[in-house]
Amino acid sequence: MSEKASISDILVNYFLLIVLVVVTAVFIIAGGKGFLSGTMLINILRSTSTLGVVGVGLTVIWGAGEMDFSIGTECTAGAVICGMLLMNDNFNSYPLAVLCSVVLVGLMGLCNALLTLKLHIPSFIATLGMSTIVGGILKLWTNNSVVYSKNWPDAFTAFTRVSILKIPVIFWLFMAISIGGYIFLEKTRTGRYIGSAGINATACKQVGINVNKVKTIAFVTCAAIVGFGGVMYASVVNSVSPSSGVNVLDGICIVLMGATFLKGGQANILGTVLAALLMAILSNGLTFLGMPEYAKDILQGIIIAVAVSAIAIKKKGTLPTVSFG
Amino acid sequence: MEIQTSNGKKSGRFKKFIIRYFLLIVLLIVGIMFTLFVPSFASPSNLLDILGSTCITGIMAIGMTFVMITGEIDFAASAELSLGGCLVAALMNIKGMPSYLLAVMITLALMSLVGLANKLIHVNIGVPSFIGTMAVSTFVSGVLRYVTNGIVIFNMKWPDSFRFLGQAYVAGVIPVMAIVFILVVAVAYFTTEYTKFGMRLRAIGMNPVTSRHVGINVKRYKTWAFTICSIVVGFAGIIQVSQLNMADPYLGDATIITCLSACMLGATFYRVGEFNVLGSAVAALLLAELSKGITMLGVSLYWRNVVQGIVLLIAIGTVSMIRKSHNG
Repeated sequence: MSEKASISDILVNYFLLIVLVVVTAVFIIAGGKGFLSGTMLINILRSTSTLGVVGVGLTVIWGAGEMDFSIGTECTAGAVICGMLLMNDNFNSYPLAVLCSVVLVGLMGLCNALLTLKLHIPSFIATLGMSTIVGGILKLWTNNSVVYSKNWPDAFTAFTRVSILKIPVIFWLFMAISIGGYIFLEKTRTGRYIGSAGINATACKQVGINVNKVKTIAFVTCAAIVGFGGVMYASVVNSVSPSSGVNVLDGICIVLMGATFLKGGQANILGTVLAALLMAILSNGLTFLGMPEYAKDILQGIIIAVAVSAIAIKKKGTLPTVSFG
Repeated sequence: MEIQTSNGKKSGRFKKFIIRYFLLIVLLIVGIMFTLFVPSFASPSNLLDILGSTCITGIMAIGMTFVMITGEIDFAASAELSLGGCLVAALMNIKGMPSYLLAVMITLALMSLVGLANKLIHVNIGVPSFIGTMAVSTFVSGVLRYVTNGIVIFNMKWPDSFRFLGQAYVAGVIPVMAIVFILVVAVAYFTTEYTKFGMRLRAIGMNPVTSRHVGINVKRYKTWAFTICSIVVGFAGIIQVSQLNMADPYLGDATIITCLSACMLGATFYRVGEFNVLGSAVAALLLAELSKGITMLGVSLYWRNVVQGIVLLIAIGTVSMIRKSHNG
């Protein structure tokens, strides 16, 4: 291979990191000291954390070769369950509420798994259906309004308020989940099986891997992580509502962008984390510079298009696809 | 993916018939159940209203079906819906725009550009349509918000023709939307089922590699599919703006899920396991029937989402299970 080809390889593999550095540099030059102020950085870390956790969940299921279109609703459900349980006067244990959220949303993931693996509905459609049903239930439960209570324990916003080493707990949690996810997917046997099932399920069956079991684990893990992301989101906004949370398309976007990092089209945690950071810097930075909301959409569209096009041209057929039929 | 049954056996043929028209049976059962609770549900004017209210989702789903028949997806559909609606409104606001018809024509012509953008990134560059159209979608909705400043376009001086498509009634009872919907279904059905063009689209969806080997220009047909989709979805946007008498840049934001639901449900009907125009139309009708019926029952509107999801899963689950048991 000529030297030129290897340079372009590096460019393609590290495109996301390069964009991240360039974007940050531009904001620092344009925004000056204000962009580096404490509140700004904390805002960026907060939005990275909520979006990133949802992305990490989606990365797990995407690695298994399935799609979870219900991540948006799972995130909302995590927040709503936690908030609504604490509305009850006799229920004031925050950790218990969080546990209930994660378990119940995990059960939603189990339903997704059953629909996909037992009824053989393509995961894309099955999760779409689940998302519609649960979204409706959440609206019924909260009467489609923003729920907020002064009686909520202080712990409800602790993730956002409390800092360790000047960095909010929410970001430490995000880091812990990302590292945990990375170790799970790359270093444990189950995690390796998830990746293999995503690449070639038939071959996995033939060598004796229980693909259904592995995929079920992936569905439940994804849902539980995203549900916890919802709890984190609720602690940032200090309220819950059936229409707020992390947008499903934003979640898909960061996993897609992340997939272009290093692995040339395969969803991976490191890429997802970087992409979440990039998204957070973009939206907070543009707001800081007084740019309207659409600027972020346009830039995001261009970055995804360029990143995936580069990979599509260099390595044909390695990008993730989803079956719809 | 036709279901294999032994020819001549009556039970097999009956089963095949049931699977093929399962969605229509669901449609009828749901209709009868609503009528039992609310007798006025079955009145002709109400049924026509339901048909009319199917129009926007239905036409959008039919546009999407063209792309899905070829085995691809157009995630930019929601942005296309908003764009179509806002373009026609913005054009009507230009001083000296001679007629509404001209504005519609220009809008549809501009809509084809979005289809070509999807085509460029998928067909020419080779990005999977699932990802490529999502990038186009983000980009288009950003541009749209830039052009409209993120606010609703509204003008008192719009002529009556602006509201004709979405608000007028023929003979006092038949909504124009219902007629437009039936016309679009008829044309799309004929195109996909009875022309060489439609057969080739289906062939590509079943097996793009074989299609290329037998000499079908896959790239050209996919280009057509994406372009038709963006134009048809843009037209749905025009109708919605006409119905609301204003254009909101956030118009289409929540529509992609309903549109995909209709297409997926539709794949259980008529051509089982394949996306098809008739199926998408019947599925859109079922979704409209559910939301109208639930509104008439007087229960909380949010039950609509719950019921929609359950119907989606039951219909697709049933067909998937039957197919699995047939194929062994």
